[in-house]
Amino acid sequence: MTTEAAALDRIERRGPLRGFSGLFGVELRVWFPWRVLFMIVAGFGVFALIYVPWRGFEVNQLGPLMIWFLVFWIAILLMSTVSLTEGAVLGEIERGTASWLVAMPIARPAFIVGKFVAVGLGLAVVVFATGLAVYPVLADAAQRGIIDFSAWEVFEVASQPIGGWGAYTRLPDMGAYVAMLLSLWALLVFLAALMMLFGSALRSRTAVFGLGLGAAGIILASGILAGSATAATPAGIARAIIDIAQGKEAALMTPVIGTLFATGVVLVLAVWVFDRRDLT
Amino acid sequence: MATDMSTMRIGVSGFWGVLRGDLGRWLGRRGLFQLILWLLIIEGFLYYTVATENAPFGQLGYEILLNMLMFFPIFAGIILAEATIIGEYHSGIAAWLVSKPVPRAGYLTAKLGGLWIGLSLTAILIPGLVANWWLPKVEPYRFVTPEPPPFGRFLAALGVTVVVLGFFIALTGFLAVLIRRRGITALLAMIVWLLLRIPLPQIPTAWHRYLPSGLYGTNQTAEGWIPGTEYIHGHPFGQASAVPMTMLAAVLLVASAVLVYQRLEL
Amino acid sequence: MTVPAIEIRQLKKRYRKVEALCGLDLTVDQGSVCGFLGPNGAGKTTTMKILMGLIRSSSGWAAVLGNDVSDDDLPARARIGYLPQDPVFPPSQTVRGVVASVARLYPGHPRGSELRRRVDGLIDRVGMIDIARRRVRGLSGGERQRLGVAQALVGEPDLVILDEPSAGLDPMGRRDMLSLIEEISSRATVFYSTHILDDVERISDTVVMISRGRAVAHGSLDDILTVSEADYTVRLRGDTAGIHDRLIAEPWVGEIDIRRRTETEDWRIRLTDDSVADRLAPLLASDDDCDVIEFHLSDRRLEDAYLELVGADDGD
Repeated sequence: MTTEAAALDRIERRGPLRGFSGLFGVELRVWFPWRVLFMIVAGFGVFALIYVPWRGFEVNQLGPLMIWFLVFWIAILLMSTVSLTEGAVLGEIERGTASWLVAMPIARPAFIVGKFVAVGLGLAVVVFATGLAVYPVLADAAQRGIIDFSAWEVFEVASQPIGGWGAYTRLPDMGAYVAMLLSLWALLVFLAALMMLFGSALRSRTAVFGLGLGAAGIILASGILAGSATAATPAGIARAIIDIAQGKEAALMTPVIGTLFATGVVLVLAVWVFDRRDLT
Repeated sequence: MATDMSTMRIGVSGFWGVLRGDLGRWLGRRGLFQLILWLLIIEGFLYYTVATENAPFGQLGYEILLNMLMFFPIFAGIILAEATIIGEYHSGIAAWLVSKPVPRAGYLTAKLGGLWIGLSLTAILIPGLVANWWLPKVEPYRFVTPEPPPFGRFLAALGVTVVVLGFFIALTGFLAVLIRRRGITALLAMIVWLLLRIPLPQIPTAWHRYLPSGLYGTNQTAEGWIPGTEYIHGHPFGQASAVPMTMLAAVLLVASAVLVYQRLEL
Repeated sequence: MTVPAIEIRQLKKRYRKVEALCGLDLTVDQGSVCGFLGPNGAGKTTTMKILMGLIRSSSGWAAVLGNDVSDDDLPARARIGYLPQDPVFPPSQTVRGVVASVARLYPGHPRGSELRRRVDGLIDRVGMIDIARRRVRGLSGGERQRLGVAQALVGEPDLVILDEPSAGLDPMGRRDMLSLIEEISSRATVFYSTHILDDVERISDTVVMISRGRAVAHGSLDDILTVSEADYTVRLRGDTAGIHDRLIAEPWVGEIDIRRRTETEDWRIRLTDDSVADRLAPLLASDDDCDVIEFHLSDRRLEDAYLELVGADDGD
């Protein structure tokens, strides 16, 4: 067998994922380093904004720190995931690069899966790098309660009490904390899969963006409003994380398994829709 | 002088031409679709939270309404503004329009202005007025809604929301001409919204008197409501000076966007 | 004295490391139809975009209808109609909607039924009246091009700048486009770029050839197609060896290109000096071994001139 024939045979044998490695490499360069770095810096920025003003208060800081940080961090991660993936599929279709790519020996499923895996990897780095880096500060806040450094002068903080967050909040141990980060990643990855589906099915990037934000909002709101009914869904993850931030016990296994299963279903659907789409 | 007048007349004509074209679409099928969408979202979510057994907050209906109007339409404004400015920049429609007797400043202000007017009507004013009609009447969970507020005050509260929408459309327009990449532009504008909504207002400083955070941030009133809710319930508007300052900021942002846009190669 | 429709002096445009225009000079007189020729990447679209104020030149000067383009002069732009390369219009608008919305951008535009009449008249002229209600997203490439011409004309411009108006058109569409340009030229100056040399020969009275960002030829079509008095085409029959030897022995004969046919030979003879052209015919006639069937100044087509001028500049 000639070298060319062997190469063609290799391509053929890869089936629906032929071309994956090349596309994945390209997509990795889309996410690393700048997008990932941006999201990490945004996470640290939010943490600093939440942490610094509270450092001067003579109360247990972990409660407000955990709840506000996690709420804001999750919000920014959800917004970032939607914003940075809204054009991943449809943008390439509009620019014509999608049709150019699938005209090569690249399977259509590989186009979607390559993007999805790169997004998932980027989000994993963001979630774990930021989450693990702030853990020692959270532990410090939990242990010391009172920190002598005062940031009052810097921020002109008036001497008004912060209501509602004075109660003691338990810091999750490292294992539980990592599990929480893992579940947060699963939530984001589910949203990324949804964005792939919207991008494959719709014709307007504005609609993809709007639906993505709407989906993120619904996940958060239903996690808060619908309670235990959402236990095995992505909304259950949002609820569990908020419970953990408030020092409560929360089961992560069920929502994480449910979310990963839903992610798989949505991704298969995205591949199926993209496979049938006319590319112009 | 005669040339200046002529230039001004042509510029105004171009501006009105673009604005009219955009507003025409808001008054047509696009506007109708938007209106139905916003009525469904605003009234639906409001009904769900104040008038059904799912109402978990026990909050004032008007507080939920005004909070929603400070959230959904503004995010929509951010997405639509970046889609218009950056989308038309990349597709070539912007170049096509400014090759006509349309000044770049006229193009940009007409696009942002058209979006502001269209979205204010379909996503804030009409849904707000519809909610004001049914909100005080809801049963059986009437306890969560107050007496109807004075109409003038309610309209003023909606006006403040329109001002905040204008600020975010202007901010997005500025970021759009500066960055010219869709996702990241919207993301930055949304992060600014988020920062002004909660983390910055948590720092009690006098700055909020001059920032949009004074108009929709948390922790700005004694009751913990947003200033609009407090105002429609008979209190003075806490951070009234934030209204002209926000408008000024919006004007400055649009002016800066125009300055940047003048230099762009289309 | 009327100002030129377009005047460009030492225009330069640099995109980072690429010099798109490097000292372009050209003048297009009012009332002319000027074909703007050049290979891909020569700088045609860049020049047109600078003239429309869409991009800024790095240095040099350009004026349209007497107005410096760097002034971003709106009154001047109101007198120009422009068709960009690969025109893009709002996809959800109809053909009639696009033309009407552009008409409204001009000061003092007609309103109501008058506007409708002008818009429909133009749509009819470009052959799209049957599809006036079709949305842009449903148009073919050729239809989009014709819509581009209609919207360029709706402001009743004095100068029409068309960037490759025939690109993507089928033969009939191309023929219609040329007729339309001829029709426009009765009322406005037309400056258009193209790769189709036959089109230029058919409708242009002025030609500018550009290569690597500068003009390599510029003048009336007649001037460019006229060859010097030193280039002759001759058809001979019989034994030509003798006359060939005699010709190449003459110091005033430059090159002889020979194309052999079944019974005849076509020679293209270039003389080193046209002042000695009157010696050629007697010399040829003096040879008894062959007959001179044809003798005339060589024809020159635009393609020859293009390949000669642009090809030489490209080092081909």
